[in-house]
Amino acid sequence: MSIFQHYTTKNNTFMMLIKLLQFEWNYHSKQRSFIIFLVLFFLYGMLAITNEFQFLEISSMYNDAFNLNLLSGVISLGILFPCMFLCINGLLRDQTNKSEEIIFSTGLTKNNFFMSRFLAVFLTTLFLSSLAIFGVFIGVCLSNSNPETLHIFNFLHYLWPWLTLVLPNAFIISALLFSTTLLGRNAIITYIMGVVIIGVYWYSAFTINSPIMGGSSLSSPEIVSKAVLTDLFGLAPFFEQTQFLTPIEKNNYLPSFSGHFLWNRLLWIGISIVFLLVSYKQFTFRKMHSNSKQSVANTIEDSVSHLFTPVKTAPKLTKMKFYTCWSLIKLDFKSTLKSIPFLALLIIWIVLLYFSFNYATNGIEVYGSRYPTTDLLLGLIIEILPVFGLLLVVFYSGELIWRTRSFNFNGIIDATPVQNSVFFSAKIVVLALIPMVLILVAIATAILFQLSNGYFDVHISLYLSTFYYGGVQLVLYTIFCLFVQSVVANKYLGMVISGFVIILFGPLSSSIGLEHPLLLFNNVPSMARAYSDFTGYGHYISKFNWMTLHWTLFSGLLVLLSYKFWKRGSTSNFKMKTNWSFKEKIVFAGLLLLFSSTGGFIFHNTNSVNTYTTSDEAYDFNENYERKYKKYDDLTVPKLISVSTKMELYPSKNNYSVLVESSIENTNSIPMNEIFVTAKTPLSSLQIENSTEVFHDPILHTYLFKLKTPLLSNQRLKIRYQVNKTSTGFAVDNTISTNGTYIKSAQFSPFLGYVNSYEIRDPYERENRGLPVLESSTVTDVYLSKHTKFNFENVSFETIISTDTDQIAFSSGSLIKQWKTRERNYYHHKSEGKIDHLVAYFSGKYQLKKVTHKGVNIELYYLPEHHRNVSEMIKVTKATIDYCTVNFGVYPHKYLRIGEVSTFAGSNGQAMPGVISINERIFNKSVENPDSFNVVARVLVHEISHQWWGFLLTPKKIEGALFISESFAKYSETVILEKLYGKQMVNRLSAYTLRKYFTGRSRASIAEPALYVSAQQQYLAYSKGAIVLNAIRKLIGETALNKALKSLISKHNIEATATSLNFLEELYAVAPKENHALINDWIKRVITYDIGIKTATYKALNNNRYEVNVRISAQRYQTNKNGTEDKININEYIELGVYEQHQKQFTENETLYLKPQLINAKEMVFSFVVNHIPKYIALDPSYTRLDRNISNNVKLILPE
Amino acid sequence: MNTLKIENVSKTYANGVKALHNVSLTISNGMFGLLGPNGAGKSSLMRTLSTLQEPTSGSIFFNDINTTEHPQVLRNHLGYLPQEFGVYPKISAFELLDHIAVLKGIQNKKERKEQVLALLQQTNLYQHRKKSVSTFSGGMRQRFGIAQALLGSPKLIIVDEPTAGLDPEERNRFHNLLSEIGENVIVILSTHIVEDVRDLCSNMAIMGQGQIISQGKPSDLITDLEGKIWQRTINKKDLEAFKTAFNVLSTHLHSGQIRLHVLSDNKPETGFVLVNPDLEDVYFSTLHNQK
Repeated sequence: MSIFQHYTTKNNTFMMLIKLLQFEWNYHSKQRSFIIFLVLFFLYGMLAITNEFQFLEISSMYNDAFNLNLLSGVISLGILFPCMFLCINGLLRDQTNKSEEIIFSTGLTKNNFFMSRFLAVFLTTLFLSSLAIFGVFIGVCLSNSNPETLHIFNFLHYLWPWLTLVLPNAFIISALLFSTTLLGRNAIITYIMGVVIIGVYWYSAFTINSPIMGGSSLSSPEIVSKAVLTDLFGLAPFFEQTQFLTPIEKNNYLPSFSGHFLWNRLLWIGISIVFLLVSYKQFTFRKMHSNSKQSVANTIEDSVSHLFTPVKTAPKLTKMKFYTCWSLIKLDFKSTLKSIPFLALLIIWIVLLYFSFNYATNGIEVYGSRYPTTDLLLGLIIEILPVFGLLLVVFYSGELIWRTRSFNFNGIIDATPVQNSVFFSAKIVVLALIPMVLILVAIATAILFQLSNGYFDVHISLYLSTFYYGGVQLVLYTIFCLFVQSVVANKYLGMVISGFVIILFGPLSSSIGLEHPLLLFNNVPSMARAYSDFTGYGHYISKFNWMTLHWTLFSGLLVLLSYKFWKRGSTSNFKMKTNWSFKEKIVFAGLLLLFSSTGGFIFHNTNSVNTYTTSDEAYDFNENYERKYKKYDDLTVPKLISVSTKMELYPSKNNYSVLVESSIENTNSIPMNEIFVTAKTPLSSLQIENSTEVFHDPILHTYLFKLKTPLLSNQRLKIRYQVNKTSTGFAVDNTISTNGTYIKSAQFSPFLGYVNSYEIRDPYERENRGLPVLESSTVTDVYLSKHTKFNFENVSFETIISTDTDQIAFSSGSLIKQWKTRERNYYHHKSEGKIDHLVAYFSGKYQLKKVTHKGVNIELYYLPEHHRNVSEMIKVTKATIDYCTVNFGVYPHKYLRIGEVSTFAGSNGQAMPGVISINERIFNKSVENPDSFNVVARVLVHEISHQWWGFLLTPKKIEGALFISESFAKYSETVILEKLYGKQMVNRLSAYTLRKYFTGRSRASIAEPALYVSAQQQYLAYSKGAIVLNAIRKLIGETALNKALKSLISKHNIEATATSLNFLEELYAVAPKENHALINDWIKRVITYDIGIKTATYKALNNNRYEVNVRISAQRYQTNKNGTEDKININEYIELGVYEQHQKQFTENETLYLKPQLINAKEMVFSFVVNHIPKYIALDPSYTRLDRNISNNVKLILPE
Repeated sequence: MNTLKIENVSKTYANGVKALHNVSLTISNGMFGLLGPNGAGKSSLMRTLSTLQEPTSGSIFFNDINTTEHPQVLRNHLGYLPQEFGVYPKISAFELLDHIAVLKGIQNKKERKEQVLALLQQTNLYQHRKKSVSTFSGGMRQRFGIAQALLGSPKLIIVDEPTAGLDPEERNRFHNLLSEIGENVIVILSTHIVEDVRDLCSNMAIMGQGQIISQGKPSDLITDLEGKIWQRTINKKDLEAFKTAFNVLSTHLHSGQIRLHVLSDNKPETGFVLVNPDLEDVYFSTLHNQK
């Protein structure tokens, strides 16, 4: 057999490319990491369609067009990781395996090399992501979810997102990573590019307030348009297009390949092609050796002769071990952290941080500017650090462990007498340094940020605590990753396993049902939002410390095991040195023992001391309640007449005890024989006069009392109960606290009847549990006049509060007496007349500012360091009291108390009779910049106006009640803010409110009801109501509207009787007849608009005046009860304004024209004359119409 | 007849190292030996000839085609066994050879398979053809290297330190293989092992410090040293004295004493005997003269 025959060799054919691709596929598909990714992506696709998939909040069906698009985008995000490994394996393997000289000395052309390697990466990436989509399809087929949440199969719904998202994204990611790897020639640089890509994406998602980051609604159109092109995965323009679609529309809407979506795709595909071209040009194929720029020293002539003699060594000496360890650390530290890629990484980190700090403190939208307080910046650092830090730990752990091996130096190193423990310890130290460096740099950036913004309140000790609260989890994960790398023989496999475990026990844990803290491996509580100026980290420290100790002990076990697995010499999976010394066995056993004990302690504190319920168990509670106690549904609920409490607060012991005595009355005509009680929190005692306890269910917290003699109509009884509450174990009960106690009586006052709202609402869940179908009553006008079972109640209120000597306490009611003993402070409050029975108790180390204004004592209780906004708050309070007194009714109390509460109270503020609570984060807002929205004023006006809307006028607790309390409070915001700060600020608020309406409507789970019968829908009461009332104000005038409101209050200020229909009656009485239809449309029907300006031009006239011609389009829609929309006619006056400046910046004198125009056709033309050169024209400049698209409401007027 | 003309080739690396300095050689069919110590620039020259790097100045003509301007022409007829190389993990010898054959442009699947199997047999790797190359021993890996260098129809075969790491039997087999091929193609054998050049090569050159210091037929170079090589056995402690006094070419340990070879036109001293020069003497004398 002759080995030498002449063979035809062709180097540039298509066939060769195919053959090369075949080889690439074979190579990639044999990698273990690839197999794992295959499985992972397919499984993710399948699991995405399950009940735990949280994105169902945005759309009503798991697999409708909307969610399929969303999933395609999310999968593209995930594809980043396998693509990185594919690039490294596909491009760097010749370098790593040292086969470059053989491969490159063949006739392989640069073209073939480039094309075959790139296509292999691209096609494999595309394959993985497509497989995930296929997994989605399979998941749908296998799913046993509620059939109403599954859309029928529509091939186009899968194909379109594949063409517009999956395919281009695979190309973009492959191209970017491939080019970087080609030129970088270093795995670390590829990882860094991956981190850069994540950073770029994150910037876009963060700016637009993407739902993937938990945003409840997108940012304003101006902000969105800045970031919509930077999202290289194409999700931002998709969200932009779909943000206001109704749920029904979302089921079938495929994003239109136009506008921002089209530009985004074209831009990023273009950038990718540029990257590829540049890398192709720059890539010096075959010139591998010219890369080393290491300078070579000159050879020195050796004149002195050195004799070789042996030297004694002492490898086992402890001092020697430390010295060796230190030497190893120095070596690895230099190569890892003093490298250019790491510096590039630090720069990206600083940029991201700066960007987040800026975003959180600058006044965007209506959130107001915020002082750059230390805890805010720290919270941001602790929040972002894990993402960045974990990525780095996973990547660098692989690179670090395999360093000597990759340089082929391991044969020499491993033969030295250094112990495994020393090697491993050195690795831990270096790897743990990475998050520490990140934290250090972050702290420096934060301090610089604070100083450069003129804020000098720098809490150094708080910053230093970040190393512990932010860093400890990363160190634990470092040890885990190193453990994995010690056990597994393949670097990439190790990275994949580490990354997978981290994600499984982290963000994905809830979707596979892991909730208990002991099951969440390496998880310590996040301290990102755990700080309050009242208590520091107070409440959370104990749990954090115990969890940290627990997982640290576990990590100790891992460290010990890693020594045993450490590979010296041979590389094979899972081979452990089986000889354990006695000392090692003791240490291992000891750690195991300690680990189990901390585990037991945590379990005890989580489960036994406090009740631990999984989400399923919560449903079980509801089902049992209904099954056992539905029979008491029809029992009369007695009315509260008076409430007298004795509240003992022990803040330093985290404990309170309250004794309540009430008198109740039978307001029904039939006599009462039994009283059923549902307690919200365990009562330590409950007694009802003249009755005996029939049973007490300690699990469901219910009681039944039988009256010895029936309670006749209008007769009264006394009821008395006591509640003791202590913060125990790991439960963080934020109501009782060492500082900033804020207890609402609603938290402990029991219901005196069967609570219908405890029943499970979801019909599918009911069916699964065999519960009868819930009959839903249609809400009509007649329905609104019926008697409600549980109503708001006005009572005579009295309380004696006692607290620690260094705190002030207060509640509602006038302060009639105040005294001190050696150990306690006492306050005695009593209401003059009747107030709503839902009051709150405050206690804290407050500073008090007292101002009397027109007979009302304004008392502001705040933390001494939060003094910056006090004068602003007082000013706004005075203005609100003035306006409301004049226009709505006399303020019923002699006092108005404003109490600061800790950030854990949740909302910005809440209102109680005569008292409001304001969250500490409002005190941290800055009102110094007049260009940013004054959220302090807004919140204060809102809560104070509740004294009228909710207390002076208490609505009947029925559908439409939230409209009365909240929409009117929002209306008060509008009118008072306009008086104080002008139209611009109010317009800004209205634009935001409008967006909230449409977003809320888009995510609603049931079809939108009319405003007057709205239930708990926030987007109706807070958003739609605000816009509608503002529109009515413009329609009939502020005076007329206020007259109607004043009349409403005067007729319903004794008991809770007012309904939305009563309000309508008052409106009709003051509004001209021709406006009734429109008012009816807005309040009793669901009407939306789509109005806009099509074209606008102007031309100069002879007499120095200008004629403006504008063409507008207008359409109205009615939303039906089933969610579909119909077009209806339009016939109303809408304001049209012409200005010399952009609508957002104009002042009154820059308004050239502002008049309501009659709009009654789909398209209309208007023209009018103005005195100066017109610049902008705006339709509905005050945002009075529920217009889905406001971006076409303002247009630049062009000269003809 | 294939010809390789190397004309005034110099190579200076980016870090300033002058690896090659005005190297000129003309080589045609047959075994050509390039002898020189480590660091002489042999591998640099080999890499330059294999089109893996470009010379800083000078030109190389293969069959009258300038390879710097048209490297692809040379690659189509090149077989290169590098001094050290790695292989892809988890790929069998057959598969990897097949892949390299594809890279070299052998289109026809049947022809390719035939040649690959033939080469595997020739290098005694046939029974290991399905095993992963990364599990081969050092000798087996070298044989694999030679197999891949012979793929296609190379007219220029460059082997760089090919017998490093081979046991005597393997070395013999390797020599036989090389001499078989050397008839109709240019084979350049770059090594520091004098015996290999002596046994195999019809033409040779000696390289030192980046320059060609001697070239010609081995027999001619040896004849030039006739009558100039003197041998003497001495004690270890006298070595330094002799080194200062005479042109010591080489020293060998022989039963605890040292045997010297000295270069001199006349008998240096009593106790020295004239011996027949061999290639090793040529090698050491050439290097010695360069110093």
